[in-house]
Amino acid sequence: MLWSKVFPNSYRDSVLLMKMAGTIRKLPDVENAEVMIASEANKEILRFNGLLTDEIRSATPNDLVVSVFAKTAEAAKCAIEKAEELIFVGAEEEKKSGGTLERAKNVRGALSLMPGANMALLSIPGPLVKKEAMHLLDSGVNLMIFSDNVPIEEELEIKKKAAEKDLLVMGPDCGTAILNGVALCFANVVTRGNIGMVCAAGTGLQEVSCIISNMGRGISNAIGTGSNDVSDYIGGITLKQGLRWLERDPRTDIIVVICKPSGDNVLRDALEEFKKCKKPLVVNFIGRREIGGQDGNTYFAHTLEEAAFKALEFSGCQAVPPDENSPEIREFIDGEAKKICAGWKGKKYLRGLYTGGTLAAEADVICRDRLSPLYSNMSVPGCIRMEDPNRSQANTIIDLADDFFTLGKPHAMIDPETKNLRMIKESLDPEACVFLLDFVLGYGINEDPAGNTLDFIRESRANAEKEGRHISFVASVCGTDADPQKRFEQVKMLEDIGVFVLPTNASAARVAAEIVLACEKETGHE
Amino acid sequence: MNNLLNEELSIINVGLEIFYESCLAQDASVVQVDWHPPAAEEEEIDDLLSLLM
Repeated sequence: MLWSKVFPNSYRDSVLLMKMAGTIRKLPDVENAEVMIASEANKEILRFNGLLTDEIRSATPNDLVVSVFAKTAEAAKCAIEKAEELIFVGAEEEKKSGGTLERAKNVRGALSLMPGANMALLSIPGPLVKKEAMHLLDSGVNLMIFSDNVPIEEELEIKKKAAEKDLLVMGPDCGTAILNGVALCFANVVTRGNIGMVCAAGTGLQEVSCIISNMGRGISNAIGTGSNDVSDYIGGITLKQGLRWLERDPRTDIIVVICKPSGDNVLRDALEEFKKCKKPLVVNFIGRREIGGQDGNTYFAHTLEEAAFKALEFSGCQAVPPDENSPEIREFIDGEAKKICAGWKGKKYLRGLYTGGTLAAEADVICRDRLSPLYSNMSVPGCIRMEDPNRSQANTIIDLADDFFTLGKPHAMIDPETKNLRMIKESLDPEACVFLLDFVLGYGINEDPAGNTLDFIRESRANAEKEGRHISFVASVCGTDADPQKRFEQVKMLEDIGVFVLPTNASAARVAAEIVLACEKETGHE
Repeated sequence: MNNLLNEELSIINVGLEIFYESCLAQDASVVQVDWHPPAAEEEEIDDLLSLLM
């Protein structure tokens, strides 16, 4: 039975709405529920999930809607009442409880409350970013724009204005930064140190800063640029500015740059900038296999892991990346291959399910030289582009944070539902034998990424076991023990149910690929 | 010269509350803007105010 209610002119942010929907879905006799802003994209999601009603169809994007599919009318009524309570009473209580918390109705009010503001975080719908951004820049405030879908010509206007005023604009589509010890948006709690970073790659910044921190060194500042910055249209404005700022930053001795230049001009400009840099520089142009090795002050790494360990080496730390040929890891790889081959005689493939886009790209880079054919929904040279991201074939690595999966929904690192459901779907494919997973920790991210996936790993494994098959689960946890989710606890949860957890995403990808290769060998021996 | 990299951050968070909560958890100085999409009339008044200020 489908019930809905429209709350006109009500707005709550998408993460709060996601949490409300989660609470309502757990109520007795409720089979499915959503609480959303009635945007056209969200109406499409409701339609797809069988939750669209005529009432919602005629709602506007200023309205908040609740839709419940329940076994009984009574259950649906209770669920809608609960939603109403969460939307209104919850909001009021939240405001009351924040006696010492400062809140403003708009940017103008916030600037009055905090006249010395030097940074603003913007996570509002992309088409509405420019107005707020220009206002803040006029008031001398640097920006971090988390929002995506900002029209690119508006992005250029914002960045040009900021450059005129010597202000920094990180983003749009910038998810991660660490400034002066404060983790902004999706960032980890890392040790402070002398390694600075400029990245057009959110989880790239997270992975490298966490490896550095976990190995006992630290980060001075980590600047995000947003993915469009390294296009020829924007021209790497923030990338170049970030490099100059880190070069004059007395606390930065080594600089790491992670990006995926999409234009030839921006690549040429970046290479020129690197030559001018006086500090040791480690660069990872993700996916560009033709650029590597040392050139003057600059070392070009092929993976995030290589970039992190090279920066560690420059800082005097002699740590080495995990070696998949160590006896212990080799024993695991061969053991898994035997179990897989004992239960399934057909083709055996890898399926990478990623919530972090740059981590997925790194896995593509590692697996493209080891596994063939390799499909991906990312444009990494050497991989075959998936025609339909909903359908895996052969070896496939999927970035579940791609717009295709997240339109109108919170980011995959906040809401693991897309990943969990995809895992169940993959487990029904007997050719999917090795699952490669990422778990990303940090502020702003799901409070228990591993815990919220355990049941789905168990269910996937049970699906395979019903048919006598075995699935290998290989994972990495990008984070630190000081993160709100505590890396060691997340790792233990996964290991306790038989997931093999490696210290870096690159090592997890290598091990997962090696299991597939070992299966091929094993099959050859039969 | 902008010295942001060596200044204590004073943050205005416009949008997702989780980012405001993260700033609070780190004892950073932060103001939350309870942002909502502007109704057309509100936007007009806002534009007029911007011209006056």
